[in-house]
Amino acid sequence: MSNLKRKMAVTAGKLSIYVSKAFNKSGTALPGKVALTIDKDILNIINEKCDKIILVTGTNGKTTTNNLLNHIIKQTSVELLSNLRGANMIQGVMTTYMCNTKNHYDYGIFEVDEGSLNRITKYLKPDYIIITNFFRDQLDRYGEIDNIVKDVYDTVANLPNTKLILNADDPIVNKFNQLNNTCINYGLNLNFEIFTNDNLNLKNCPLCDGKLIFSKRTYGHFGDYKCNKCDYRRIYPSYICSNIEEYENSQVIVIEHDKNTVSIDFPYMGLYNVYNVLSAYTLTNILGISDELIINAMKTFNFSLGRMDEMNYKGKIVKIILTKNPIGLSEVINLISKDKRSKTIIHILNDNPADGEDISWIWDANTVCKNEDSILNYYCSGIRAEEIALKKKYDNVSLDKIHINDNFKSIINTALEDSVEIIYILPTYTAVFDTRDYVEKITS
Amino acid sequence: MQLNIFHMYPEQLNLYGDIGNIKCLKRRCTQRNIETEIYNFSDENKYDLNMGDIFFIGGGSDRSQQLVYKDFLEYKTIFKDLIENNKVVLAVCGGYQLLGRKFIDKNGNEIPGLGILDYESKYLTDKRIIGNIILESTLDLEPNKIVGFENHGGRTFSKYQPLGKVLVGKGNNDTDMVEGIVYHNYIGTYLHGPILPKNPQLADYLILKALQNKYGDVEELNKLDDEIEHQAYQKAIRIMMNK
Repeated sequence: MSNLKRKMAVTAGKLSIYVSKAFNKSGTALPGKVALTIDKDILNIINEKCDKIILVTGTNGKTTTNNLLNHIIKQTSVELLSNLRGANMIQGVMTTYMCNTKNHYDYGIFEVDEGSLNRITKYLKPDYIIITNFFRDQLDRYGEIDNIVKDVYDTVANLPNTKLILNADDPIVNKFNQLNNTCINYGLNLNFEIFTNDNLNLKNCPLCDGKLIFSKRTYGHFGDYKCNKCDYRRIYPSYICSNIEEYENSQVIVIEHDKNTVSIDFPYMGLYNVYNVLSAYTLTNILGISDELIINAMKTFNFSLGRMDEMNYKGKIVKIILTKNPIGLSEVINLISKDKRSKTIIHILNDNPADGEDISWIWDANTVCKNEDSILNYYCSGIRAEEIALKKKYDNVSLDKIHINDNFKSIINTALEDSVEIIYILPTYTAVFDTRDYVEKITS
Repeated sequence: MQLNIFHMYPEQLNLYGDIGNIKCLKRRCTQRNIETEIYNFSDENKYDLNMGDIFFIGGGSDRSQQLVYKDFLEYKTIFKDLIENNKVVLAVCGGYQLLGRKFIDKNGNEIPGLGILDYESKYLTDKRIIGNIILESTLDLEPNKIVGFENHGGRTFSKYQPLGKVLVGKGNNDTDMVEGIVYHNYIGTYLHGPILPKNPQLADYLILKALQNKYGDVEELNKLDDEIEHQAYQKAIRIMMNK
């Protein structure tokens, strides 16, 4: 009976792929949703067919890390199943199987939404979980960050055989070292005093009421820290980034582990990408993949799903970067601030459920560009275009630089004609794919 | 003219972009040549509360609020007097709950509030009140609607004048269809957004009250260019009314 139910679920799920294609909908979770309606335990099928399961969870960096892992691991000629497009709730994970049904996979690698980890691990028993970080994100969906962290913590506590790959620089993630699981930590150990003086949102020790004292900070609440009241402190990581050299369009990331040093030439900028590279290196090294193969894979990594995306139009570069929460937006603005080229910025702010209906998060981001002179215009678009325009006004941007238009297509058309070297487009989640498709259409 | 703006416990109570309220007050004063000084009041940085003209108390996680409560309690009497003496106080969400008599949590435990005013909040259901909200204000504002976003687990029950009648959303609780409270120049509300930048009429109301309280005969504030504010406000109303 249960076998029949499962077969029906798979068939119906696959059928829905054709139906949604016929209606030209690229709904990334529908087939999984259909299958789950028929058999709520259908996710077991993935657990049975994958030899090893790796999950990536946390607020930021899930999709990039997942894509990096895939790009590296697939060089070893193995069969993978993975949700590369970022559909990371239970339906999304199920959908990846519907779209790529095989009898056996060497690895199942999935990014998992923090709020879905509990439900998904009822079926998928991971060998490894990478926990990237915890920042404020989509509080309208989950309430408070404390609740999300507790939920993930309790879930992982029930998976004692799962090995954890932890970002020790994040005091909240570092807390997972208290669990009985085998924990492997990664972090930055640069010779920096303090990278950032941005407002620190996290001041209190995750264990007691004490205050966290930071001796170093990289960004957000990442750094080296200890509690002034109890003995809580950052675990010294075994995978360490010891140096970064930044170039215009790439960075060389030096990683040290167990007396071994590797230099990774990575074609994307940003400190957040250093963390993504570091976590992906840590896991693939643990899996026994050679440094040579990892280095080559990292060098050729091409991420074309909206996190960082580059196209050309009449000699101008058009760069699309997803911005969906305060820390992400702040870091992207930080990156843009380092870019000396003449530029125009397009913000696309939507408030659909998948973006978070509460757009107040933009006020928690540091959106002031430090090289204002090199910015010709700010175009504000999306459902809540005016809100981001108001934030730019508060950043003391000259009002004649701010342009509002809900229609992202017409605003992109206008912006593309600006006499600048580079156009940055910063959409929220529900705008990113449409933006990419549209820019691709007009630039090709 | 000059105003001292006290941001109460900014490190602990700083959820949902509420820092925008401080930026808004400062900006709208500066544009009118009203000098401002911001005081970040916390367990580590103490200032004489009697110096303050406007006080802002934001919301925090349950844990942060507990940490703040212990320290804030020492200033209960002073703060009560400030409110009785018509000082301007804006408390949002957790800050709003904190100034009330008590909060009754999920397990029926009574967590005392500062008890500065006689209203209480309680846990009633796991379902948080989350969504866009529009009020028709009880204050003399032009325009008189207030727009924002509410996100709270607790429900508040009060007999004071509300900040507004709820046109879209829930407000204080699931039944009364009112939101917030007004008592002298104290406004308690659940509205994030942040509330002040896109409701500049409310920001100006607070600034004017603070000036009148400090300097007496101030009649009105000069108008500012609020074109983008107005557009954001109108868009919010349009979206919420059509949903």
